[in-house]
Amino acid sequence: MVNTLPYLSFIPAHVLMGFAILFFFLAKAVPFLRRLPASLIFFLVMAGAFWLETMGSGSKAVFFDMIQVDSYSRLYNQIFFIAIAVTILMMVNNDEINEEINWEIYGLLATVCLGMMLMTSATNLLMTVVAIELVSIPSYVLVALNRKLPVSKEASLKYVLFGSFAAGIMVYGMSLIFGLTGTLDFAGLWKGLGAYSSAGTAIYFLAILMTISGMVFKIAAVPFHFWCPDAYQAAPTPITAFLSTAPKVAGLALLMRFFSYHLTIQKADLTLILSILAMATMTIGNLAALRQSDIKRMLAYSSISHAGFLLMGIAVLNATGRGVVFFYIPIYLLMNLGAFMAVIYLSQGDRFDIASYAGMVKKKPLLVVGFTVCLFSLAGLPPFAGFIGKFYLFKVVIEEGLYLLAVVAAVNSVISLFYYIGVIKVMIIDTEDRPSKDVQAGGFPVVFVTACAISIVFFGLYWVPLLNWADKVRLLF
Amino acid sequence: MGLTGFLTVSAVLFTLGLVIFISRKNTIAILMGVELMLNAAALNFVAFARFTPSQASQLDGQIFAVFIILLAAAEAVVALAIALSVYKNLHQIGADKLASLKG
Repeated sequence: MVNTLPYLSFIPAHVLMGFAILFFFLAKAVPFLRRLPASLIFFLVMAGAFWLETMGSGSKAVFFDMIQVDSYSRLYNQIFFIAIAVTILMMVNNDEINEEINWEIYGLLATVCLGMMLMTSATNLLMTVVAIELVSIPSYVLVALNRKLPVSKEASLKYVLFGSFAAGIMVYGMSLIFGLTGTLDFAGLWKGLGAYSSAGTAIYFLAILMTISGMVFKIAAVPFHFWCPDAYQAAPTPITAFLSTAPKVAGLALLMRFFSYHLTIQKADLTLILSILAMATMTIGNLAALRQSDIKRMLAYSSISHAGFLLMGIAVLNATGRGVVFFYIPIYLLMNLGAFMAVIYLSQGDRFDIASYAGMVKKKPLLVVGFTVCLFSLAGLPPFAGFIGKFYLFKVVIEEGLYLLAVVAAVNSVISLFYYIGVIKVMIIDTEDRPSKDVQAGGFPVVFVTACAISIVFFGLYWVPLLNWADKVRLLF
Repeated sequence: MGLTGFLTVSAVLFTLGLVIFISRKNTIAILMGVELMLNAAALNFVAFARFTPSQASQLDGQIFAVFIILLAAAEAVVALAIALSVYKNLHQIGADKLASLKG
């Protein structure tokens, strides 16, 4: 027997999250513990995990080389903790979820978090499957918990069907790779695929494409995006905000680590596959977003097209591309979380159609201005941070000579302007046809959205801190 | 039966699962199709582990197959629970009838 306990000291945040899962599921049964404030405890757990990850240093392969702890995994994990902490704040300020089941929800969120942490550091196909399912299965349940919208159960059923379909394709692809190379290790399998005499044949591409389908499902890229609009529309809004950010980032991180071990001779093929994926994703996402009348559905399609833009950074398959993706992710988080927080408070009760936002600027001027900044930034207009993020993505793609990809992305940026500005026009220029009840918003959402908007403008004008942060993202370092 | 036999059976299973997933209307039947796909992958792993054992660790394929069985069970539990709650709410589980969300 190999003693794995010493390894645990290299992954303190994972251990903490494991205890958090146990605590949240068990404490529900203990009357004394049940009276404690669940949200506050989970928030503190996130703060603690963040602190533990910032303390770590160096790089080490643990658990039979199945996970790799390095600055790459630590920095991505910190982003997940921030996203979950914001989700907790949103849930406290939202009434779509029954507060009595907070304990179970936090247990599920902690499980998702552990899965995402394993996704960023997995270096083995078996660990990849475990990590992806650890994220997927609680997400199915989280989507179904909207008490105001019974149809969320239906969305969750569609999500679980597509999710298990993607998982089935993924494990079949992994079995093909295992048959071709005789190994499950990322480094070993790329070496094996390179040595395999019929590299470039149908079975080679089939194995790779089927294997990445699970990760593609997690980032909601074409052709595994069908679940995304339904699930995002029907899920409780804080959960939608969470799903559109953290698991997507985890999927991107896993894709990047998976492809980082490729050999030079495989580069051209892989870049082609990923470029096609990126172009299809951003185009289909944008064209579908144009004809949405529901704000959450529109933001879902917008997040699909953003997955396409982020795939641009992965398609170049080098360290600069990985740095640029990491540079864009905090900006993406700010824009998306800010926009969803604004949506929670601009929507009266459970009305999420864009038309009901008419004349909102007169009621909540500050919130609408913050929302407008987030939407402009999502569209990629200067001087907001979204522009800088997109600028760097275009830069690495052009440096690599992928001109077609750059042109398609530029056209898509222009298309995306239409639907973002459509929402802004409804809020600011249109007038209400009939008076509706006042928006009930406390101080917190306004402060939050304003803070997001201010940081978007700040990073749009002075992005050096983000560049320095992205500079620290190194695999195996 | 050699490796080719196992691979043929698993490819047939996988294709059957795929066809069921695409063509069937009943949600439970769709789930059964997904189970077929997962089991095809498990069969592949076991066959590869038996006939072309990897040098590094001979048990990789078998362990992966065990994990696939666990994964299939976990997904089935969650999917059936959700299907049950859909049935309670909407009194049907036909995939073609669940179309309240569109766009």
